[in-house]
Amino acid sequence: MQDSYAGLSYEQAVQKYAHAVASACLMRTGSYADAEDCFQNTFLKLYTSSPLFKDEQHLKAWLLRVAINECRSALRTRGRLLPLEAAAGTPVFLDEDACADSFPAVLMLIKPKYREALYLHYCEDCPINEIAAILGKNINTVKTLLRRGREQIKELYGGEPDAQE
Amino acid sequence: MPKNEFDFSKHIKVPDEWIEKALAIPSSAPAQQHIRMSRRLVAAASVVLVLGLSIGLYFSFRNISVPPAVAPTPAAASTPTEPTLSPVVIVTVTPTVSAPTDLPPTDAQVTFPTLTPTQIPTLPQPTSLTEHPDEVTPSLPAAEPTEQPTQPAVQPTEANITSQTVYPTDEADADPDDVAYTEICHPLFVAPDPDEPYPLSVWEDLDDVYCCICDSSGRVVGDPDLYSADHRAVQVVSNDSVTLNYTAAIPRPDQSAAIASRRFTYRFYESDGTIIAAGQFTL
Repeated sequence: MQDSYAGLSYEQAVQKYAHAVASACLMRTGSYADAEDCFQNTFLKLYTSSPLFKDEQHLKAWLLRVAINECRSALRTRGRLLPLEAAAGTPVFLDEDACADSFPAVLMLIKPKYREALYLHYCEDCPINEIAAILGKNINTVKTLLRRGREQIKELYGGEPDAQE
Repeated sequence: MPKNEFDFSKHIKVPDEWIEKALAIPSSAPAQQHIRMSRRLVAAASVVLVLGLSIGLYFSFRNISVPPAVAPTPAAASTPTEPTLSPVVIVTVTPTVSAPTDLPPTDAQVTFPTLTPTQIPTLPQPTSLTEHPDEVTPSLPAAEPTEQPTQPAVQPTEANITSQTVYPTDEADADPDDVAYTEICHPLFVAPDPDEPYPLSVWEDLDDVYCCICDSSGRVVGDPDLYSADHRAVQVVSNDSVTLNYTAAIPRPDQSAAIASRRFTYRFYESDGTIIAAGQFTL
């Protein structure tokens, strides 16, 4: 096992990116149980595969890609049954401060493939080429996903969001 | 909407035990690594052993003389031992379709020449439509898309019927009038949106695509589970279009019956029930 992940130790990498990975897993799976498995598997892969990272941005992108792929695999294995948490109105993993029409709550209402792109773009500030690398899609497809996702968000909000592009 | 609304992780409650377990991975990983290395060594040793045995057997058999082949008797040559194979005709259908919002589907006549199918297992008789557990299912017979598409309209295509004769490798004992081997090729042509600054790759984002064929009474042909492997369709992507392919063995209807009863509808749909394309044909 390597001692350095883009200049960070394993423990430092976990502390620094735990929230980002956990958020991505919860965003994608919609349930604590599945998200926890994916969360642990992501860091297990980080430790066991020990890839070389150019910088921390590269490390973060790698973690998000692995996390999202783990979530997709978990959902595929579980089948198309919705967990009880995801079937509720506002996801239970969101804070009490997050009201039903907040962006995180609304994000959970749209399709997963749009949700992934919007989450990475707006919540993780990933550039489009990085989103394409994380999701394993080409850049034009990512732009289409973002466009459609924004349209769905607009419909849910009933107006124009003050989002920066 | 304020910028801080996008701080998704701020609203997330991440349990501390998740982080503690992740930090504990290094202490438990060495044992797993040791086991993994042992398995790799065993696998490598097995491969070497099999290769060695194969090489040894090869060289040992080279030294064994092979008796000449026995010539067939004249009586045997005149008596065919294999049944006569009959050709099977596979017809490719490219029906005329309209945009997904213009359902029900257009009427595309498909005529098949005389078919003699190969050994195709008998399909289970569907009893009813199986509803998708948590997603919208395509409603039949008049299907509605689950979301109104905002992408450019699909260009209609002209019906194009081609046929291909295929000689099967074996002949089944099944009744030749039992099933019709049907292949559906549905091209999707996407016109570029003048308002879209980027080239569209609308259909490249299709995940799993399925197809179901329903008879004139609306019953699904084949597996009633609309998302089973039997209904999995294939996407062929090229340059600016995608063709959806699906092949099914359909119980051949009674040819003396009314044409309406011999009409089948098909629908291509995504894993969430969104209908992508549809059409119909007659056997």
